[in-house]
Amino acid sequence: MSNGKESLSPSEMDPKDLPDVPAFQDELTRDYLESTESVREGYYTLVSATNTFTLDFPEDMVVDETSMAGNEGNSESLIFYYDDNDADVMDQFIINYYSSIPNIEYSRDLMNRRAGEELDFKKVPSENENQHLEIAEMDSDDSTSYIAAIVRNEKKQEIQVFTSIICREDIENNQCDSLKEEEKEKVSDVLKSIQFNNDKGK
Amino acid sequence: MAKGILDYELMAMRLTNKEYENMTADKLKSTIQQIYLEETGSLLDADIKIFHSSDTEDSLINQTGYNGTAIYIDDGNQEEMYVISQGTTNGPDWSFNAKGPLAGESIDQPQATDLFVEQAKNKLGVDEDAKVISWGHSLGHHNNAEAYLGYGTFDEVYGMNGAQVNAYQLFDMNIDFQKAVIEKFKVRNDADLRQRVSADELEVFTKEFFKDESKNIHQIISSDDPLNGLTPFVPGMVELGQIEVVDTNPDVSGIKELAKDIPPEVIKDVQDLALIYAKADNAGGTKEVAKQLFGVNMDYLKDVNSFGSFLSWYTFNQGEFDETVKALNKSVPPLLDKVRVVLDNKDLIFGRLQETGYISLKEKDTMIEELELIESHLSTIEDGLNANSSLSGVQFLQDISTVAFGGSLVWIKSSLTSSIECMKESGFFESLNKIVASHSIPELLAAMSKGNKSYFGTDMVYTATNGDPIKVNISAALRMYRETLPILEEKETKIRNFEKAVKEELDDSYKDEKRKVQDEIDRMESSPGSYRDLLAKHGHLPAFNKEMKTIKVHEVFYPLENNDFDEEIHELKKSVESGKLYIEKYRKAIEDLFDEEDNVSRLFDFSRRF
Repeated sequence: MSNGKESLSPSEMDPKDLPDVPAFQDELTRDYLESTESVREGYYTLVSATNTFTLDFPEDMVVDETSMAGNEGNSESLIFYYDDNDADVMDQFIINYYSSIPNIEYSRDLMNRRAGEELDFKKVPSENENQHLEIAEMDSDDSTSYIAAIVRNEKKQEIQVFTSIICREDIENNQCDSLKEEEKEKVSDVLKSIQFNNDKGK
Repeated sequence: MAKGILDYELMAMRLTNKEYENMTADKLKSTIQQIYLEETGSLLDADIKIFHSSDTEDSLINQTGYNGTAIYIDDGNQEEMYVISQGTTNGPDWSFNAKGPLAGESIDQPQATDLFVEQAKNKLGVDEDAKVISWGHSLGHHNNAEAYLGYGTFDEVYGMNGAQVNAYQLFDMNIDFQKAVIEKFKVRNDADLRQRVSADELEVFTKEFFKDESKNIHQIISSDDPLNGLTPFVPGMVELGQIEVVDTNPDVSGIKELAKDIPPEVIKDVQDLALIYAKADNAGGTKEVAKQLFGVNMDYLKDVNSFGSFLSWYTFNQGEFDETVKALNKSVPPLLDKVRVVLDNKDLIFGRLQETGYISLKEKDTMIEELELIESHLSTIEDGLNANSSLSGVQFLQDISTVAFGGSLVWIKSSLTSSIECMKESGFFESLNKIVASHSIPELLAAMSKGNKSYFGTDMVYTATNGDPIKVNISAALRMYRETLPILEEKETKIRNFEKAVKEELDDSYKDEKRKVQDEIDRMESSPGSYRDLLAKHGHLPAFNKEMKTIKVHEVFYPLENNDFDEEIHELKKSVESGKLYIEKYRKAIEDLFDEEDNVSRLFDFSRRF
């Protein structure tokens, strides 16, 4: 932070001075964003309400109003999606944070039960040290795909994610398939960017 | 409901209510045994293991506020685990229920429920195939039913006056359901669902989607339960399962009738007001209410009793005055808004309460009268506050509204308490307690009498079949019969110990001492020579030439006196015998009130076998 102006958090700034993208123009979402400096093009750092993890947040998404921190910051639900309801493809992330889950087998089982199918989780190399990431792609139909993920660290902190990727109704199947593939990449990037905030919070 | 080991509705209700007592594992075990005996007339021959949520090492479960008990039962034929999830019990709490978790926001506790079940299965060594059945009252049912529908935590759910599940929450929890909703309504995210699909349509679809699961959800609901009355007002709230509705308070026409046509936002304001009052009242009675309601430090107003003293306080204690005005500025307008909403709908609210039998005409009149009085004083204060903010000190003093402001402030200090006392004395709040009581399990149980069996609290009451219809609390009788025997046995042991102590400490030590003396005598008599120095006083060396030839002791041992406790011990033993006799007589007296086919005698016999 080089000058006084930049040290203001986005929620303290005049909306006119903020980037003209949904993430900053939406009042609730703005509260989650750390700064107006992007981490990579089109992405800004989101700090969870419990201050326990961060992720790269797409500028054209907004946080749902039902997102909330649980009692004493030991859990959190965070939901976000594209602000544009008419987007060709709609992604919705449903993220659940838990301060302590005894073992990952339980989490896989819970995710299977929520999904209503046996998920085939595959370990994905994580750039973040001491963090484990595994991702499963669910059976999908023509217009809808789902991606499930578990992020976990040695302190047994855990994040479970279900992401839906849904084409607009009028989009042809072929086009939808390629659009979904593109989105899967983006979703996967966001999932990989999830990082536990070990220095702060609980 | 497929028959499980504890699969009896009344057993579930009684144990779920008992679980609130957070008893020890042993006490809960015997409670399960006794309730099983009372409900079925036979002994529960099974291995029982208990695990309470406070025993988990997992911080997450307890920090969400989740409280529950897992009961593992194996009767040799089948293994089952019952999970009792605690709800919230007291008055203001059910209102919080409606606002917080039920508004479709937090899924903390359903998550904790699933995690607890997982841990209980591990700790108690529950077989994968064992059936897991949940019981829950109030919020406990909400947690159980959401965990069941969202995560598949249970095989069966049994709810009593339960808070219902929320379709918006289930949309985020159960991905299968989410897919179906997306497919059906062509929505693509949470906001889309809330905005484009009416809550009614979603509720109907939710019922349809969970049709099969609903067969495993059983609920018993009082038609007078206030929480149940709120269900229609919470968007997305769905009543699922096989539902048995019971009229637990026939004197009133039921909560749905009461709330009919009253706009939800008015109900919310009434609730808020009741909550504010309840909180303030809890904090320390009527006197505290004013302080709590207005956030004003009442000590400042100690000497403010008239307009004159108000002016002098205002002039000389500007700091206190400013602080008071600030507090009033914050507290009065929102409070006043709610009071006004209630008064605007006074005929509807109080009229309906009276028509449906909850309150009397006098209570209604007093409430309206006092609320109008409060409203007028609060309005004056609000006017004064508005004037104060735009006027400087001197102007404020000269302003006409100041006189009224001071007057109303004095009224708040001195008369608000009596106004609230008036409302209290009218009996209004007690009458409203009837509404809250209808949320309880005991009121449900009380409505479940069958034949000569009925309930008092969670106890079973038998009505005598021989002679006068005397009511006997059979649970209490069995408890007494069961618990007295060990007490009497303990007493017997103590008496035996006492007898032993008397013998050891007195008789034996007397004999011991006597023997020691006798030994010494024997020694002296058998070797008198070694006692020569006893003759020392009869002469001095070197001329000393006396010898000890013989010693003869003429001993007399007096018997030990005051050592006879036989009488006391006999009395003590008699008291045990008469205790036993009394208990048996008591048992006999109760048995005589009933016909043989009531099997009361068997209950007593069995009650001593666990």
